[in-house]
Amino acid sequence: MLVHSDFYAPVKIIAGEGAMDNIAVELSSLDSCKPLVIAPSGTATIIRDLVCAFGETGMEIGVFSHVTGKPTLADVKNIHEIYTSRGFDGIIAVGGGKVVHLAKIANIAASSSPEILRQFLADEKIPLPQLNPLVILSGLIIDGYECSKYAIFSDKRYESPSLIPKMVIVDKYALSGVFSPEVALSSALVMICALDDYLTEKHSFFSRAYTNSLFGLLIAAVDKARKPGKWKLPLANSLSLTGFLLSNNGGGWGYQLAQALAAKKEKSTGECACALLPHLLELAFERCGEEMGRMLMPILDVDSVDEVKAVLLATYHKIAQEAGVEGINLSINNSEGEEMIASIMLEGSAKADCSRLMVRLSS
Amino acid sequence: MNFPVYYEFFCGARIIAGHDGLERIPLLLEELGVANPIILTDKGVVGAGLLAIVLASLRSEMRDVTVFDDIPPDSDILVVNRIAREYKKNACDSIIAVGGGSVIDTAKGVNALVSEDESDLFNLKGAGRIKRQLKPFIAMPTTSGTGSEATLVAVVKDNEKKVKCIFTSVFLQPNIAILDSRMTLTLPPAVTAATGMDALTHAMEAYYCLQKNPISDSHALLAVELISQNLLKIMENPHDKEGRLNLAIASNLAGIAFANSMVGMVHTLGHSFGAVCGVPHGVCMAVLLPYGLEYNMHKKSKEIGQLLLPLVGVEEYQKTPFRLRGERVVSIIREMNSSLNKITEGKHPLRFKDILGRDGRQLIREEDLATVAKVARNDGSIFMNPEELNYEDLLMVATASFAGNPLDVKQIKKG
Ligand SMILES: [Fe+2]
Repeated sequence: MLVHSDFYAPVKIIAGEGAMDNIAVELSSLDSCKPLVIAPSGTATIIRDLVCAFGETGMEIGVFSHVTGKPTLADVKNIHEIYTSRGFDGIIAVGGGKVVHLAKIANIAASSSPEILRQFLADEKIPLPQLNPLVILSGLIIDGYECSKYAIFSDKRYESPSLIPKMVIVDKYALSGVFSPEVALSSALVMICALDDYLTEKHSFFSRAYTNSLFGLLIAAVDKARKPGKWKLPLANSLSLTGFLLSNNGGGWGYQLAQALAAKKEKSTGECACALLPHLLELAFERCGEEMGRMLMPILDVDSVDEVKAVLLATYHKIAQEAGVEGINLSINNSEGEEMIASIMLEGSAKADCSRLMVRLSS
Repeated sequence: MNFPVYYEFFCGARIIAGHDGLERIPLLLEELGVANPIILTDKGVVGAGLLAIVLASLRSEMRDVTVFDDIPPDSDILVVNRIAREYKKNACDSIIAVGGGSVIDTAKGVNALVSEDESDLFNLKGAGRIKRQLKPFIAMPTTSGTGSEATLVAVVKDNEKKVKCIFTSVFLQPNIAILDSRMTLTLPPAVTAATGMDALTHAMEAYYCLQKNPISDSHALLAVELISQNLLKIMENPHDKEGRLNLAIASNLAGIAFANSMVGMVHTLGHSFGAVCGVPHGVCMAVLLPYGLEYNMHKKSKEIGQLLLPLVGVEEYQKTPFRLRGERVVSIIREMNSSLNKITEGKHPLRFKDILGRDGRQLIREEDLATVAKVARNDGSIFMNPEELNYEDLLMVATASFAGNPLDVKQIKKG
């Protein structure tokens, strides 16, 4: 355990029945009374519910629901134009992934100035001013960065504490759809981030607390994946916590490896996470199985370390099955493996663990 | 997995833990974009030499440091108003609080006042009145117990009107909490014991009371494990820096847990024993915790039983039959109190009857208990306790804890 630590995850989580109904009050507690909603196309029902949630408060809201592909500067310009011309003072991003990235980047221009955004995109080290509140209405398909200090724009990852959203709302009315393969792949990313915390020597007691909650929520969700209405809230909750971990470790080596593999093999990061998970689980059991067991026994409500391991394995199998990628083979050769290890710049035991894993993947 | 119908969770502070946290203050102030902090502390902290350590780390890097080191233990709105004037007079731009719960709460009040440009803190009373980011604020707890560096609440007394004013806002949390092992190294043993038991109570009540949630749970479990592994160890070896830091981390984790799940009966009665008889908060927690567990056992036997795991580890947990785990937790807490009592040569009391005032006389008389029970009825934490409590119930627990007798479980009305 890393005794010297520095941990920061200042996102308020509001989860459960009626969470969305509180959004107006919560925004006004952050001094925002006229938010702009940024949503992907095809979210009309959610937007209608959101408008209802603001219903009697007298607060005005605007909607920008044309997010389709990767966020572009044209999107940012559009949002900036609407935001400033109509006097909005906060942003609600609906869902996960690209919508949230766009909302984070657009918020820089909207609540400071396009010039500051231009400077930031040129050099992310320039300190950003305090931005207006960004609230996420959580969805079920994520890339893990939503509640983090990161935003991806033009294929580059930008970082600033100012990009951390102020709040995430987890409400079943905003969580439509079934436990689809895409949802399963999001779950694989969540699981790999949690395992990363156990596999890195650099974790802190604070990241460990969130990791344990994340495991509990994910496992509860996946276990009920076929029971309508039972899995969405815990899953969306675990998705939010993933950003907390990524913010503080920049992505552990499992997550980074999944990203590197995805780029190399032209697969999604989720698919590669699925391929890595059984190996990472085995490694984690070997390295810190006792500790994982002790930490997770009360959270999973089981009575032995072996049961914890069994539940974790079952969760992986279910995720891979639902994603339709169980037993996926990435067919890595030795030189590719070495190249990837080099690309994620690992040190010490993580490098040794990663090398062992590569040998397994290539055999 | 416990997943409530609805819950909220928030920890806005950046938490820095280490043996050299203080040395990072100049850099942190720079990151926060400020250069002229006011340091708020009390004479105890100054006397223990802790302010000198903080000043040494600051003065090597910056010239202007304003110090207010006279926060009294019963700090109130007048003190807050006075410090706010001092802050403005010296054109300060940030706050560093070094101390226990009273200093940190006073600092929260000062921050609200100077940031919102009010002249009287009273005008900001209540929930959600403070809606904007306040001035940069760094908190350095010097006891491992209260967890107030993690809470969204400031409790400031109005000694003139004889009321406690409560201020709630996400913006009251410090921007940064620094947990540095040096800050607690010189704590007197009885204070380490009492504040440690306060932290344990935060963690345990957070875990079994009604507003628990999946994130507060994991914070609480980790805190219990760390306290169980470190409290007695540092009582035996007060200079154990690693142990001190672990306990400070545990106290912060427990603070985060209870700030998001609230507390129950142990605090309900504890606040009242504090208000009516002047018993230090941590001492109340230590005496009352076993009673809180006993009183709620029939409703929360699973959760209380699960607390055995972080207390004793996997092997002993598995050996203990399910139905006996909760009782074992209670007996471990009593054993911990007994050990603390021995190590402090009786200064850590086991029952309220044994607590002595400054004049050496018994602090609480049996006839005070009725008032304690009456006052407790109005404490907000009563609503989060799993089992209901009326005046008779509160009096029963107060009486048993006064005498040091285990609760007669037959007397608990199961509501
Ligand atoms: Fe307390």
